[in-house]
Amino acid sequence: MSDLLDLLRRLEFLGEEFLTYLYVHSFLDDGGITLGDGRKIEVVAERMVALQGAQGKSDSTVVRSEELSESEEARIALKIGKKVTSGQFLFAIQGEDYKVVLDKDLCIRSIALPALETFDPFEQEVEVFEKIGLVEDAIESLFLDFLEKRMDQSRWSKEMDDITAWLRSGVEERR
Amino acid sequence: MGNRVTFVTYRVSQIPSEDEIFEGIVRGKIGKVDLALGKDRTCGFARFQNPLSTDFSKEDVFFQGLVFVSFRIDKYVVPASTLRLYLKERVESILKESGRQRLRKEEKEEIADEVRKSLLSKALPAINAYKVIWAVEKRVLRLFCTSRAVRDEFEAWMHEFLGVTLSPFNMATIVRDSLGQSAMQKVLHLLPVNFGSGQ
Repeated sequence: MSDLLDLLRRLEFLGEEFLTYLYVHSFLDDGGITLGDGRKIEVVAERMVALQGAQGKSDSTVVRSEELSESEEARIALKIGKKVTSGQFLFAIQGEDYKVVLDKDLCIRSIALPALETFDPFEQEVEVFEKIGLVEDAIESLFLDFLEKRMDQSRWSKEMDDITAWLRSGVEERR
Repeated sequence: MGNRVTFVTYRVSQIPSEDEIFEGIVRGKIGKVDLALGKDRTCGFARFQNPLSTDFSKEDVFFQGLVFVSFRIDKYVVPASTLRLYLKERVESILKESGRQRLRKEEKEEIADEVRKSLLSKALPAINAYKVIWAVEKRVLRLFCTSRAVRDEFEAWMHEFLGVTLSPFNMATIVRDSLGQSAMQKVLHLLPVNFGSGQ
């Protein structure tokens, strides 16, 4: 277990980069990320994003807004080098919406599930279990896809260009 | 949209048989608190649908390829203000009977312990039951609780009675379980980027 904790600490910056990538991408390409295998996962950052700079907690910003894509505060925080440490994301999976609060360790803090289709209490437990699994699978696929890009210099260079261009664009351009 | 849920997902180290799981759950069922020994809490497995019961049957535990059980923690608490009042009454009674002016610190501590045990025996426990659902074949288990203390206790209990190690679902378990050695080394050699400066 301590090996995993050590690994988690070593990867911490990648968790922040992944959430930042997810945050920016959620406002690009109609809010979707197309994975290497062709699947598209729709994800939109919404309502709350927490960002942190190199100084740690003393250098943090929390932005709450109905329209995060237009939040200058979040964009400026990113431009000065802060990264996303947690946020609420809406995942559209198999035609249903899941609101997920995700942190930089990729731990899900909470999920608001769509309406359940079953009525029997025991079957509802099974349905909740399976729906959570869909979200975790989506997060895992997105993260592994991000890692593949991150390890490929030319693909990552294009990602950086896209993210930087979005950060530098004005609100009007982003609409 | 409703149903906001909080939980922790674990990856389970191995796949025990149905019999091993059932026996482990029965052995690890919640027991009575031994108040006489000064203990004030206990934990263990209870039934999923009725956590007050530990009368397990395979029909309750196994459903649609999943394991359903509760992890229950019972804690007896004597409120400090109640303990203070009973202790005061007991000390005054002893002083009156013995004709002494005061008690030694050790005597007072001993009396406080006795009074606490006596009150605990009359108290009702605070019972907390947390749902556990385990997809055995997929090696995925969810505990519907996020308290660090409960998680630690649950992980230790699962290890002791079911012989499995639980690793929380997070970035480290994804990397450990999904990447080969060479990709893992590559990931560990990456350096942070600055999105603001584009470098």
